[in-house]
Amino acid sequence: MSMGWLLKCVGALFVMGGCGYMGWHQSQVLKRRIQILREMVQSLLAFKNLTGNYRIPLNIVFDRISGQMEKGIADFYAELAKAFGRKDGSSGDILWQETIEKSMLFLAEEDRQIIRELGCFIGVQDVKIQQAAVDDCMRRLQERIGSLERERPDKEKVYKVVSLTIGGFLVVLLF
Amino acid sequence: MENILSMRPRKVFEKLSIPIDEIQEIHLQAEQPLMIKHQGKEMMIDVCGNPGVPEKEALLVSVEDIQESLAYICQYSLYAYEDDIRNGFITIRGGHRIGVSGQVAVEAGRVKSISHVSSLNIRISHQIFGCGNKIFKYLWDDGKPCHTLMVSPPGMEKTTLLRDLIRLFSNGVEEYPGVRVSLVDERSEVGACYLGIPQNNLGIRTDVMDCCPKAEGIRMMVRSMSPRMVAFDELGDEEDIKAAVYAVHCGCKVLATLHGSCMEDVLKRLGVRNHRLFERYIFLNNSKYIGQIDRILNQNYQTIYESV
Repeated sequence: MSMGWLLKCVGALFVMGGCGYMGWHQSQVLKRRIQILREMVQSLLAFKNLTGNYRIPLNIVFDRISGQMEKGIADFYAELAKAFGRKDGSSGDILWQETIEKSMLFLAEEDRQIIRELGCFIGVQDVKIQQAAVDDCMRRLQERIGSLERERPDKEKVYKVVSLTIGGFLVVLLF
Repeated sequence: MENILSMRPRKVFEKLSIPIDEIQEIHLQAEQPLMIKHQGKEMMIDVCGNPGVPEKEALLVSVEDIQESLAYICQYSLYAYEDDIRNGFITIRGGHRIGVSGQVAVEAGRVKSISHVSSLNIRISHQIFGCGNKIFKYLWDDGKPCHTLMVSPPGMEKTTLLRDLIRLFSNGVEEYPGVRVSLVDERSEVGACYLGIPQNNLGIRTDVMDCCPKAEGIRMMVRSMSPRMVAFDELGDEEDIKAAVYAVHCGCKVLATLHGSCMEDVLKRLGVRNHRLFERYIFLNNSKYIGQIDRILNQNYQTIYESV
Protein backbone atom coordinates (compact mmCIF):
# COMPACT_ATOMS: atom_id res chain seq x y z
CA MET A 1 0.00 0.00 0.00
CA SER A 2 1.43 3.36 -0.96
CA MET A 3 1.84 6.29 1.41
CA GLY A 4 -0.62 8.30 -0.67
CA TRP A 5 -3.32 5.64 -0.31
CA LEU A 6 -2.75 5.54 3.45
CA LEU A 7 -3.05 9.30 3.70
CA LYS A 8 -6.26 9.22 1.69
CA CYS A 9 -7.72 6.62 4.04
CA VAL A 10 -6.74 8.70 7.07
CA GLY A 11 -8.18 11.80 5.41
CA ALA A 12 -11.40 9.95 4.63
CA LEU A 13 -11.67 8.86 8.24
CA PHE A 14 -11.24 12.46 9.39
CA VAL A 15 -13.86 13.70 6.92
CA MET A 16 -16.36 11.00 7.95
CA GLY A 17 -15.56 11.60 11.61
CA GLY A 18 -15.99 15.35 11.23
CA CYS A 19 -19.30 15.01 9.45
CA GLY A 20 -20.48 12.42 11.95
CA TYR A 21 -19.52 14.80 14.76
CA MET A 22 -21.53 17.61 13.15
CA GLY A 23 -24.57 15.35 13.00
CA TRP A 24 -24.08 14.37 16.62
CA HIS A 25 -23.59 18.04 17.58
CA GLN A 26 -26.89 19.02 15.96
CA SER A 27 -28.73 16.36 17.94
CA GLN A 28 -27.03 17.66 21.12
CA VAL A 29 -28.19 21.17 20.27
CA LEU A 30 -31.73 19.85 20.02
CA LYS A 31 -31.36 18.07 23.37
CA ARG A 32 -29.95 21.23 24.95
CA ARG A 33 -32.84 23.30 23.58
CA ILE A 34 -35.32 20.95 25.26
CA GLN A 35 -33.33 21.10 28.51
CA ILE A 36 -33.27 24.90 28.48
CA LEU A 37 -37.02 25.05 27.89
CA ARG A 38 -37.53 22.69 30.84
CA GLU A 39 -35.40 24.97 33.03
CA MET A 40 -37.37 27.95 31.83
CA VAL A 41 -40.57 26.21 32.94
CA GLN A 42 -38.96 25.51 36.35
CA SER A 43 -37.97 29.13 36.68
CA LEU A 44 -41.51 30.28 35.87
CA LEU A 45 -42.83 27.94 38.55
CA ALA A 46 -40.49 29.56 41.07
CA PHE A 47 -41.56 32.99 39.76
CA LYS A 48 -45.23 32.08 40.25
CA ASN A 49 -44.56 30.93 43.80
CA LEU A 50 -42.50 33.92 44.88
CA THR A 51 -44.85 36.48 43.38
CA GLY A 52 -48.16 34.78 44.15
CA ASN A 53 -47.57 33.39 47.64
CA TYR A 54 -45.00 35.79 49.02
CA ARG A 55 -45.73 38.92 46.94
CA ILE A 56 -42.04 39.72 46.66
CA PRO A 57 -41.11 42.62 44.31
CA LEU A 58 -39.81 41.64 40.89
CA ASN A 59 -36.14 42.62 41.13
CA ILE A 60 -35.77 40.51 44.28
CA VAL A 61 -37.65 37.61 42.67
CA PHE A 62 -35.41 37.72 39.62
CA ASP A 63 -32.33 37.82 41.81
CA ARG A 64 -33.45 34.76 43.77
CA ILE A 65 -34.37 32.75 40.70
CA SER A 66 -31.03 33.64 39.12
CA GLY A 67 -29.30 31.98 42.07
CA GLN A 68 -31.25 28.75 41.55
CA MET A 69 -30.88 28.22 37.80
CA GLU A 70 -28.15 26.97 35.44
CA LYS A 71 -25.93 29.41 33.58
CA GLY A 72 -28.01 30.60 30.58
CA ILE A 73 -31.31 31.09 32.40
CA ALA A 74 -29.46 32.39 35.51
CA ASP A 75 -27.82 35.11 33.43
CA PHE A 76 -31.19 36.09 31.96
CA TYR A 77 -32.73 36.53 35.39
CA ALA A 78 -29.65 38.34 36.70
CA GLU A 79 -29.99 40.81 33.83
CA LEU A 80 -33.68 41.19 34.60
CA ALA A 81 -32.90 41.93 38.27
CA LYS A 82 -30.46 44.63 37.16
CA ALA A 83 -32.87 46.09 34.61
CA PHE A 84 -35.82 46.22 37.02
CA GLY A 85 -33.65 47.92 39.62
CA ARG A 86 -33.09 50.84 37.22
CA LYS A 87 -35.56 53.66 37.18
CA ASP A 88 -34.73 55.40 33.94
CA GLY A 89 -38.05 55.96 32.25
CA SER A 90 -38.66 52.52 30.72
CA SER A 91 -41.81 50.58 31.50
CA GLY A 92 -41.68 47.05 32.90
CA ASP A 93 -42.74 45.58 29.56
CA ILE A 94 -39.93 47.37 27.70
CA LEU A 95 -37.36 46.23 30.26
CA TRP A 96 -38.58 42.65 29.86
CA GLN A 97 -38.35 42.80 26.03
CA GLU A 98 -34.92 44.42 26.04
CA THR A 99 -33.52 41.84 28.42
CA ILE A 100 -34.86 38.99 26.29
CA GLU A 101 -33.19 40.45 23.18
CA LYS A 102 -29.93 40.88 25.07
CA SER A 103 -29.73 37.71 27.17
CA MET A 104 -31.83 35.01 25.53
CA LEU A 105 -30.12 34.59 22.19
CA PHE A 106 -29.41 30.96 23.08
CA LEU A 107 -33.15 30.27 22.65
CA ALA A 108 -34.76 29.78 19.28
CA GLU A 109 -36.84 32.72 18.02
CA GLU A 110 -40.17 30.90 18.37
CA ASP A 111 -39.34 30.03 21.99
CA ARG A 112 -38.28 33.62 22.71
CA GLN A 113 -41.59 34.84 21.30
CA ILE A 114 -43.56 32.83 23.88
CA ILE A 115 -41.56 34.40 26.71
CA ARG A 116 -41.69 37.84 25.10
CA GLU A 117 -45.51 37.83 25.26
CA LEU A 118 -45.39 37.43 29.05
CA GLY A 119 -43.89 40.89 29.40
CA CYS A 120 -47.10 42.91 29.39
CA PHE A 121 -48.47 40.92 32.33
CA ILE A 122 -45.39 41.13 34.53
CA GLY A 123 -45.87 43.32 37.58
CA VAL A 124 -49.56 44.10 37.07
CA GLN A 125 -51.65 45.01 40.11
CA ASP A 126 -53.92 41.97 39.97
CA VAL A 127 -51.71 39.04 40.89
CA LYS A 128 -54.25 36.55 39.53
CA ILE A 129 -53.89 37.98 36.02
CA GLN A 130 -50.13 37.69 36.31
CA GLN A 131 -50.38 34.11 37.55
CA ALA A 132 -52.76 33.21 34.71
CA ALA A 133 -50.34 34.68 32.15
CA VAL A 134 -47.44 32.73 33.66
CA ASP A 135 -49.54 29.54 33.60
CA ASP A 136 -50.32 30.12 29.94
CA CYS A 137 -46.65 30.71 29.13
CA MET A 138 -45.68 27.53 30.96
CA ARG A 139 -48.35 25.57 29.12
CA ARG A 140 -47.10 26.83 25.75
CA LEU A 141 -43.50 26.01 26.68
CA GLN A 142 -44.55 22.51 27.76
CA GLU A 143 -46.25 22.09 24.40
CA ARG A 144 -43.03 23.14 22.65
CA ILE A 145 -41.08 20.67 24.76
CA GLY A 146 -43.57 17.91 23.93
CA SER A 147 -43.39 18.65 20.22
CA LEU A 148 -39.56 18.79 20.21
CA GLU A 149 -39.38 15.51 22.17
CA ARG A 150 -41.64 13.83 19.63
CA GLU A 151 -39.56 15.11 16.71
CA ARG A 152 -36.20 14.34 18.33
CA PRO A 153 -35.72 10.67 17.34
CA ASP A 154 -36.58 11.36 13.69
CA LYS A 155 -34.46 14.48 13.58
CA GLU A 156 -31.49 12.69 15.11
CA LYS A 157 -31.79 10.00 12.48
CA VAL A 158 -31.92 12.63 9.77
CA TYR A 159 -28.87 14.44 11.18
CA LYS A 160 -26.91 11.16 11.31
CA VAL A 161 -27.89 10.08 7.81
CA VAL A 162 -27.33 13.48 6.23
CA SER A 163 -24.00 14.04 7.93
CA LEU A 164 -22.71 10.58 6.99
CA THR A 165 -24.02 10.98 3.43
CA ILE A 166 -22.22 14.30 3.06
CA GLY A 167 -19.12 12.70 4.54
CA GLY A 168 -19.32 9.80 2.10
CA PHE A 169 -19.85 12.18 -0.81
CA LEU A 170 -16.84 14.23 0.20
CA VAL A 171 -14.71 11.12 0.50
CA VAL A 172 -15.72 9.98 -2.95
CA LEU A 173 -15.02 13.45 -4.29
CA LEU A 174 -11.61 13.54 -2.70
CA PHE A 175 -10.74 10.05 -3.93
CA MET B 1 -35.43 59.20 47.40
CA GLU B 2 -35.74 61.19 44.14
CA ASN B 3 -35.49 57.90 42.21
CA ILE B 4 -39.11 57.12 42.97
CA LEU B 5 -40.23 60.15 40.95
CA SER B 6 -40.82 60.04 37.21
CA MET B 7 -38.13 61.55 35.00
CA ARG B 8 -39.76 64.99 34.60
CA PRO B 9 -40.19 65.93 38.28
CA ARG B 10 -36.90 64.17 39.06
CA LYS B 11 -35.01 66.58 36.82
CA VAL B 12 -36.78 69.46 38.59
CA PHE B 13 -35.72 68.21 42.01
CA GLU B 14 -32.13 67.94 40.84
CA LYS B 15 -32.20 71.69 40.30
CA LEU B 16 -34.22 72.52 43.43
CA SER B 17 -32.39 74.74 45.92
CA ILE B 18 -34.05 73.11 48.95
CA PRO B 19 -32.33 69.84 50.00
CA ILE B 20 -34.66 66.85 49.84
CA ASP B 21 -34.00 66.14 53.55
CA GLU B 22 -35.67 69.39 54.47
CA ILE B 23 -38.82 68.72 52.49
CA GLN B 24 -41.75 67.36 54.49
CA GLU B 25 -44.04 66.38 51.63
CA ILE B 26 -44.11 66.15 47.84
CA HIS B 27 -47.54 66.22 46.25
CA LEU B 28 -48.15 64.89 42.76
CA GLN B 29 -51.67 65.30 41.42
CA ALA B 30 -52.56 64.59 37.81
CA GLU B 31 -52.92 67.80 35.78
CA GLN B 32 -52.17 70.00 38.76
CA PRO B 33 -49.04 71.91 39.78
CA LEU B 34 -46.16 70.11 41.44
CA MET B 35 -46.16 71.05 45.13
CA ILE B 36 -43.93 70.55 48.12
CA LYS B 37 -44.28 71.30 51.81
CA HIS B 38 -41.26 72.86 53.44
CA GLN B 39 -41.16 74.13 57.04
CA GLY B 40 -44.93 73.80 57.22
CA LYS B 41 -45.43 75.96 54.12
CA GLU B 42 -46.79 74.71 50.77
CA MET B 43 -44.96 75.76 47.58
CA MET B 44 -45.29 75.17 43.87
CA ILE B 45 -42.23 74.39 41.78
CA ASP B 46 -41.52 75.37 38.20
CA VAL B 47 -39.64 73.40 35.55
CA CYS B 48 -36.35 75.09 36.52
CA GLY B 49 -36.64 73.97 40.14
CA ASN B 50 -37.59 77.38 41.53
CA PRO B 51 -39.82 77.03 44.60
CA GLY B 52 -42.68 79.34 45.54
CA VAL B 53 -43.75 80.24 41.98
CA PRO B 54 -47.33 81.20 41.08
CA GLU B 55 -49.69 78.50 39.82
CA LYS B 56 -49.47 79.37 36.12
CA GLU B 57 -45.66 79.04 36.14
CA ALA B 58 -45.55 75.76 38.08
CA LEU B 59 -44.72 72.43 36.46
CA LEU B 60 -47.94 70.55 35.70
CA VAL B 61 -47.85 66.92 36.74
CA SER B 62 -49.21 64.61 34.04
CA VAL B 63 -51.06 61.29 34.32
CA GLU B 64 -47.97 59.61 32.86
CA ASP B 65 -45.85 61.11 35.65
CA ILE B 66 -48.17 59.55 38.22
CA GLN B 67 -48.10 56.15 36.52
CA GLU B 68 -44.35 56.19 36.04
CA SER B 69 -43.76 57.27 39.65
CA LEU B 70 -46.09 54.55 40.91
CA ALA B 71 -44.15 51.98 38.88
CA TYR B 72 -40.88 53.10 40.50
CA ILE B 73 -42.42 53.26 43.98
CA CYS B 74 -43.70 49.70 43.60
CA GLN B 75 -40.49 48.54 41.87
CA TYR B 76 -42.55 47.58 38.81
CA SER B 77 -44.42 45.15 41.11
CA LEU B 78 -47.91 46.54 41.70
CA TYR B 79 -49.13 43.09 42.81
CA ALA B 80 -46.65 43.19 45.72
CA TYR B 81 -48.28 46.38 46.98
CA GLU B 82 -51.90 45.41 46.26
CA ASP B 83 -52.87 45.46 49.95
CA ASP B 84 -50.99 48.70 50.58
CA ILE B 85 -52.67 50.40 47.61
CA ARG B 86 -56.04 49.17 48.83
CA ASN B 87 -55.31 50.74 52.23
CA GLY B 88 -54.34 53.96 50.53
CA PHE B 89 -50.65 54.17 51.41
CA ILE B 90 -47.33 52.53 50.57
CA THR B 91 -44.26 52.53 52.79
CA ILE B 92 -40.94 52.43 50.99
CA ARG B 93 -37.32 51.96 52.00
CA GLY B 94 -36.31 54.79 54.27
CA GLY B 95 -39.66 54.81 56.03
CA HIS B 96 -41.18 57.32 53.62
CA ARG B 97 -44.90 56.99 53.21
CA ILE B 98 -46.75 57.55 49.97
CA GLY B 99 -50.46 58.24 50.14
CA VAL B 100 -52.34 57.01 47.10
CA SER B 101 -55.72 58.22 45.90
CA GLY B 102 -57.80 57.88 42.76
CA GLN B 103 -60.73 55.91 41.41
CA VAL B 104 -61.61 53.02 43.65
CA ALA B 105 -62.94 49.62 42.60
CA VAL B 106 -65.48 48.31 45.08
CA GLU B 107 -66.62 44.71 45.56
CA ALA B 108 -69.38 43.70 47.96
CA GLY B 109 -69.25 47.11 49.57
CA ARG B 110 -65.53 46.94 50.30
CA VAL B 111 -62.61 48.63 48.58
CA LYS B 112 -60.96 46.10 46.29
CA SER B 113 -58.29 48.30 44.77
CA ILE B 114 -57.54 51.76 43.45
CA SER B 115 -57.86 51.24 39.74
CA HIS B 116 -56.83 54.69 38.47
CA VAL B 117 -54.34 56.46 40.68
CA SER B 118 -54.51 60.22 40.22
CA SER B 119 -52.61 61.56 43.24
CA LEU B 120 -49.52 60.65 45.18
CA ASN B 121 -48.60 62.36 48.43
CA ILE B 122 -45.05 61.54 49.47
CA ARG B 123 -44.41 62.14 53.18
CA ILE B 124 -40.69 62.17 53.74
CA SER B 125 -39.80 60.46 56.95
CA HIS B 126 -37.95 62.43 59.60
CA GLN B 127 -37.36 60.55 62.79
CA ILE B 128 -36.89 62.93 65.71
CA PHE B 129 -34.29 61.45 68.03
CA GLY B 130 -34.34 62.51 71.64
CA CYS B 131 -37.87 63.87 71.91
CA GLY B 132 -38.47 61.40 74.75
CA ASN B 133 -35.21 61.99 76.60
CA LYS B 134 -36.58 64.58 79.00
CA ILE B 135 -39.43 62.44 80.28
CA PHE B 136 -37.88 58.97 80.07
CA LYS B 137 -36.92 58.85 83.74
CA TYR B 138 -40.57 59.46 84.76
CA LEU B 139 -41.60 56.22 83.07
CA TRP B 140 -39.71 54.03 85.53
CA ASP B 141 -40.69 53.06 89.02
CA ASP B 142 -38.41 51.21 91.41
CA GLY B 143 -36.13 50.07 88.60
CA LYS B 144 -38.97 48.72 86.44
CA PRO B 145 -40.62 50.31 83.38
CA CYS B 146 -44.22 51.43 83.83
CA HIS B 147 -47.31 50.68 81.76
CA THR B 148 -47.48 53.94 79.83
CA LEU B 149 -50.20 55.56 77.76
CA MET B 150 -49.69 58.63 75.56
CA VAL B 151 -52.84 60.69 75.05
CA SER B 152 -53.56 63.51 72.64
CA PRO B 153 -55.86 64.50 69.77
CA PRO B 154 -54.72 63.46 66.25
CA GLY B 155 -51.72 65.25 64.74
CA MET B 156 -49.88 65.94 68.01
CA GLU B 157 -46.92 63.68 67.22
CA LYS B 158 -47.86 60.83 69.57
CA THR B 159 -46.40 58.33 67.12
CA THR B 160 -43.13 60.29 66.95
CA LEU B 161 -42.86 60.19 70.74
CA LEU B 162 -43.85 56.52 70.83
CA ARG B 163 -41.10 55.71 68.35
CA ASP B 164 -38.48 57.50 70.43
CA LEU B 165 -39.63 55.94 73.69
CA ILE B 166 -39.47 52.47 72.11
CA ARG B 167 -35.90 53.24 71.07
CA LEU B 168 -35.00 54.47 74.56
CA PHE B 169 -36.55 51.47 76.31
CA SER B 170 -34.90 49.11 73.85
CA ASN B 171 -31.40 50.60 73.97
CA GLY B 172 -31.53 51.70 77.58
CA VAL B 173 -29.72 54.69 79.02
CA GLU B 174 -27.06 55.00 81.70
CA GLU B 175 -29.41 54.67 84.66
CA TYR B 176 -31.90 52.27 83.09
CA PRO B 177 -31.02 49.07 81.24
CA GLY B 178 -32.44 48.20 77.81
CA VAL B 179 -35.41 45.83 77.71
CA ARG B 180 -36.77 43.60 74.96
CA VAL B 181 -39.62 45.41 73.25
CA SER B 182 -42.19 43.90 70.91
CA LEU B 183 -43.86 46.40 68.63
CA VAL B 184 -47.15 45.54 66.93
CA ASP B 185 -47.24 48.01 64.06
CA GLU B 186 -50.66 47.58 62.48
CA ARG B 187 -50.44 50.54 60.12
CA SER B 188 -46.67 50.39 59.64
CA GLU B 189 -46.41 53.98 60.91
CA VAL B 190 -44.06 53.46 63.84
CA GLY B 191 -41.39 51.24 62.35
CA ALA B 192 -42.14 52.01 58.67
CA CYS B 193 -41.03 48.53 57.73
CA TYR B 194 -39.83 47.80 54.24
CA LEU B 195 -39.87 44.07 53.43
CA GLY B 196 -40.20 43.43 57.17
CA ILE B 197 -37.20 45.52 58.21
CA PRO B 198 -37.92 48.69 60.22
CA GLN B 199 -36.67 51.77 58.42
CA ASN B 200 -36.81 53.83 61.60
CA ASN B 201 -34.37 53.33 64.45
CA LEU B 202 -36.36 51.43 67.07
CA GLY B 203 -33.46 50.22 69.18
CA ILE B 204 -31.38 47.09 69.34
CA ARG B 205 -33.85 44.98 71.29
CA THR B 206 -37.04 45.69 69.37
CA ASP B 207 -38.93 43.06 67.39
CA VAL B 208 -41.62 44.24 65.02
CA MET B 209 -44.81 42.57 63.82
CA ASP B 210 -45.67 44.68 60.80
CA CYS B 211 -49.13 45.18 59.25
CA CYS B 212 -50.67 42.81 61.79
CA PRO B 213 -54.00 43.42 63.59
CA LYS B 214 -53.11 44.64 67.07
CA ALA B 215 -55.01 42.12 69.17
CA GLU B 216 -53.63 39.12 67.30
CA GLY B 217 -50.15 40.62 67.04
CA ILE B 218 -49.94 41.26 70.77
CA ARG B 219 -50.89 37.66 71.56
CA MET B 220 -48.39 36.32 69.02
CA MET B 221 -45.55 38.47 70.30
CA VAL B 222 -46.18 37.69 73.97
CA ARG B 223 -46.18 33.97 73.22
CA SER B 224 -43.20 33.86 70.93
CA MET B 225 -40.76 36.75 71.47
CA SER B 226 -40.56 36.91 75.30
CA PRO B 227 -40.86 40.68 75.44
CA ARG B 228 -40.45 42.73 78.57
CA MET B 229 -42.58 45.42 76.97
CA VAL B 230 -45.26 45.40 74.27
CA ALA B 231 -45.77 48.60 72.30
CA PHE B 232 -48.47 49.60 69.85
CA ASP B 233 -50.09 52.69 68.41
CA GLU B 234 -53.73 53.76 68.83
CA LEU B 235 -55.38 51.70 71.51
CA GLY B 236 -58.73 51.29 69.81
CA ASP B 237 -61.57 48.92 70.47
CA GLU B 238 -62.49 46.30 73.03
CA GLU B 239 -60.30 43.67 71.32
CA ASP B 240 -57.21 45.88 71.63
CA ILE B 241 -57.89 46.50 75.32
CA LYS B 242 -58.39 42.78 75.97
CA ALA B 243 -55.10 42.04 74.24
CA ALA B 244 -53.34 44.72 76.30
CA VAL B 245 -54.78 43.19 79.49
CA TYR B 246 -53.58 39.77 78.31
CA ALA B 247 -50.07 41.18 77.86
CA VAL B 248 -50.19 42.68 81.36
CA HIS B 249 -51.34 39.40 82.87
CA CYS B 250 -48.44 37.67 81.10
CA GLY B 251 -46.05 39.98 82.93
CA CYS B 252 -45.28 42.39 80.07
CA LYS B 253 -45.30 46.14 80.35
CA VAL B 254 -47.48 48.03 77.86
CA LEU B 255 -46.58 51.19 75.96
CA ALA B 256 -49.39 52.60 73.84
CA THR B 257 -51.09 55.70 72.48
CA LEU B 258 -54.71 56.82 72.57
CA HIS B 259 -56.71 59.53 70.86
CA GLY B 260 -58.12 61.83 73.47
CA SER B 261 -57.50 65.11 75.23
CA CYS B 262 -58.11 64.50 78.92
CA MET B 263 -58.36 61.83 81.57
CA GLU B 264 -62.11 61.50 81.06
CA ASP B 265 -61.54 60.36 77.47
CA VAL B 266 -59.05 57.78 78.73
CA LEU B 267 -61.39 56.40 81.39
CA LYS B 268 -64.31 56.30 78.97
CA ARG B 269 -62.24 54.23 76.54
CA LEU B 270 -60.68 51.90 79.09
CA GLY B 271 -63.90 51.32 80.97
CA VAL B 272 -64.46 50.72 84.65
CA ARG B 273 -62.73 47.32 84.71
CA ASN B 274 -59.47 48.54 83.21
CA HIS B 275 -59.18 52.07 84.56
CA ARG B 276 -56.12 51.01 86.60
CA LEU B 277 -54.37 49.35 83.65
CA PHE B 278 -51.79 52.07 83.11
CA GLU B 279 -49.27 53.53 85.55
CA ARG B 280 -48.23 56.57 83.56
CA TYR B 281 -50.33 58.91 81.38
CA ILE B 282 -48.50 61.32 79.10
CA PHE B 283 -50.64 64.18 77.74
CA LEU B 284 -49.49 66.05 74.65
CA ASN B 285 -50.78 69.28 73.13
CA ASN B 286 -49.72 72.02 70.72
CA SER B 287 -49.94 75.06 72.96
CA LYS B 288 -46.34 76.05 72.26
CA TYR B 289 -45.33 73.60 69.51
CA ILE B 290 -46.73 70.41 68.02
CA GLY B 291 -45.93 67.42 70.20
CA GLN B 292 -45.31 69.40 73.38
CA ILE B 293 -45.51 67.18 76.44
CA ASP B 294 -48.00 68.91 78.66
CA ARG B 295 -47.96 66.74 81.78
CA ILE B 296 -47.46 63.21 83.05
CA LEU B 297 -49.78 61.58 85.59
CA ASN B 298 -49.09 58.51 87.67
CA GLN B 299 -51.49 55.65 88.46
CA ASN B 300 -53.16 57.77 91.17
CA TYR B 301 -53.73 60.54 88.61
CA GLN B 302 -51.20 62.78 90.38
CA THR B 303 -49.06 65.06 88.26
CA ILE B 304 -45.43 63.98 88.38
CA TYR B 305 -44.24 66.16 85.49
CA GLU B 306 -45.58 69.39 84.07
CA SER B 307 -44.08 71.48 81.27
CA VAL B 308 -43.10 75.03 82.15
